Amino acid sequence: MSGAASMAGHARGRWRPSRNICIGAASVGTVLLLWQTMSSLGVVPTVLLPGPVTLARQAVVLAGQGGAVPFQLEHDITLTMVRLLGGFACAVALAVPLGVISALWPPAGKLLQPVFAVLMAVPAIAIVPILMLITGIGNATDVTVVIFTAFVPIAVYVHEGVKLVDRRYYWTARSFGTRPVDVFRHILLPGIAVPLIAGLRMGMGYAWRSLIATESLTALSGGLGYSIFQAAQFFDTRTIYLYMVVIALLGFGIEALFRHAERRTAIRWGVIASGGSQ
Amino acid sequence: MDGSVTPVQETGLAAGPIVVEARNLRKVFTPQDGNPPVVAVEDVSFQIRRGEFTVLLGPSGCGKSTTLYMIGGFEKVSGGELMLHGKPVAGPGPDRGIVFQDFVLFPWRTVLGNIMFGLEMMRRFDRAEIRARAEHYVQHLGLAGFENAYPSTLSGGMKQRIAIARTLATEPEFMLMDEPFAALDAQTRDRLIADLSRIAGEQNTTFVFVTHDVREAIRLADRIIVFSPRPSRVVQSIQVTLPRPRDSYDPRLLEIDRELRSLIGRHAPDDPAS
Ligand SMILES: Nc1ncnc2c1ncn2[C@@H]1O[C@H](COP(=O)(O)OP(=O)(O)O)[C@@H](O)[C@H]1O
Ligand SMILES: [Mg+2]
Repeated sequence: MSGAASMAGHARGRWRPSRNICIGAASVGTVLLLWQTMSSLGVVPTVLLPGPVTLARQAVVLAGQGGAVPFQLEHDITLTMVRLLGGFACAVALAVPLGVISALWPPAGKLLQPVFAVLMAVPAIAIVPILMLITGIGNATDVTVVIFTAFVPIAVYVHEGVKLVDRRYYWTARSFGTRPVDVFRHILLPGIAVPLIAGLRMGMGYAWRSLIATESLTALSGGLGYSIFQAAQFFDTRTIYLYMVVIALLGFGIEALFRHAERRTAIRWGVIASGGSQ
Repeated sequence: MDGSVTPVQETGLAAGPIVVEARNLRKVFTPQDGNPPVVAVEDVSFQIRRGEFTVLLGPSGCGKSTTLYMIGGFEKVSGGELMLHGKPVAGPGPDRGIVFQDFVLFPWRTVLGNIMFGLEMMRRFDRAEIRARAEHYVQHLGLAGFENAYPSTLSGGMKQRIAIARTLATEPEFMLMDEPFAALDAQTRDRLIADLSRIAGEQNTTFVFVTHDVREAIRLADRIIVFSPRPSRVVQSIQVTLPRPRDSYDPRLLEIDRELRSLIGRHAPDDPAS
């Protein structure tokens, strides 16, 4: 499985996934095995801890039903992901320009920095009640929470990132007669790539957690967070566990994208160390 | 300066036209945070002639870098005049390339990518031409085999070679160099001095090279402009006519070395008489 990947890794002189993937697969496999054993031996009542095999069956059931059961896994995944990605895109579109402007233009900085600082201190869940009153218990509240939670770290990291770009990069660029649009593209953007990705990663992490929590409170919205709490009402532990696993896997997949982006930038450039566990 | 020392002369013999002239140049930094202003350059006058390898020599903190950055157009002049081809310097331009002590390479670009940067920004050449020119300077600076490496993986000496190649690649009229070898170990510095001296001989470029190292100055310079400690003034402008390549242990070089050291040691800006 990992032979080709390993060789490619060596050939490019970058990270070597094969060993890490093997170790990761082994540890996940061990957990699954222990879990299944515990469940099969009845250490914990099956209803409180269904095994992986049961969950796999449940996944097939919920995925195969076109609305025949109360939980529609595919539909919930789609709903949640559309909210997450749509809201995140809006957050990026707002936060990156504001972060850049607040760093480059002192009046904007004076105005925006306190705003960022205050927003930074507000947990997303604290704005949900008022959002529900304003925008209702549906989609709009969920998406607003995503925008709000993702916006803050992205804007702050971009702001700090722009401030940290060595002014002598600009000097060097200008000493080659670089045009402003090229300075933006070839100095500013790559110059803030590392903090930008860190901010995106953090914003996505916050947004993901807040979205699941908010969905559980917005009764008209559906989605993974809504359904997992509904399942609790019915004491449907199989569905609860299945959704937990799905949420974990999606979260892990999103994280993996950002780790990949970091490998392509900071680590390849040698700006930060690669660390052992990547 | 005593005229009896033959390798050191007050005036140029075959000197080119004056291309940079500072008259009572002054630079004051006014910090934003309410701290008192810093006089970085007090009152400096000198001339730089076309094609001359000019070294600005002086102790740390005397305003050499600030002077160089004003020539580059990166810092504004606070007082006096700084003329480039008879006109006041107005901002940076592609006629003046810069090299810093700590390289300031773009970490997100490979070695070749860094060297191609200026050529790309000029938007004058097509991709193949840019590559060919960059490759030429890769060879010239001894960087062959490292084209696709990222700078962070290389030694300080290699990084400075990249920075020099990046600046040379666009063939600017001036190479402004701010203590480019100060962060390197003695052996690496020695090789780079020799290589730079060779390159300078082949190029039409006017070098303005800042250093606090007397020996380095003498090995490289056609002309040395000696700054006093703060408040900074120019003590002396001397010509060095030793043949190249120069050997640090050449007795004539050691003679100039001793003379310069006593000049700087006197700390007396307007009293060069012995
Ligand atoms: N941007 C700045 N703001 C305030 N003070 C500065 C700045 N740049 C340089 N200085 C001060 O000006 C003086 C001269 O600095 P510099 O030109 O770097 O000297 P040199 O290069 O000869 O060591 C120093 O005292 C330094 O602290
Ligand atoms: Mg300096």
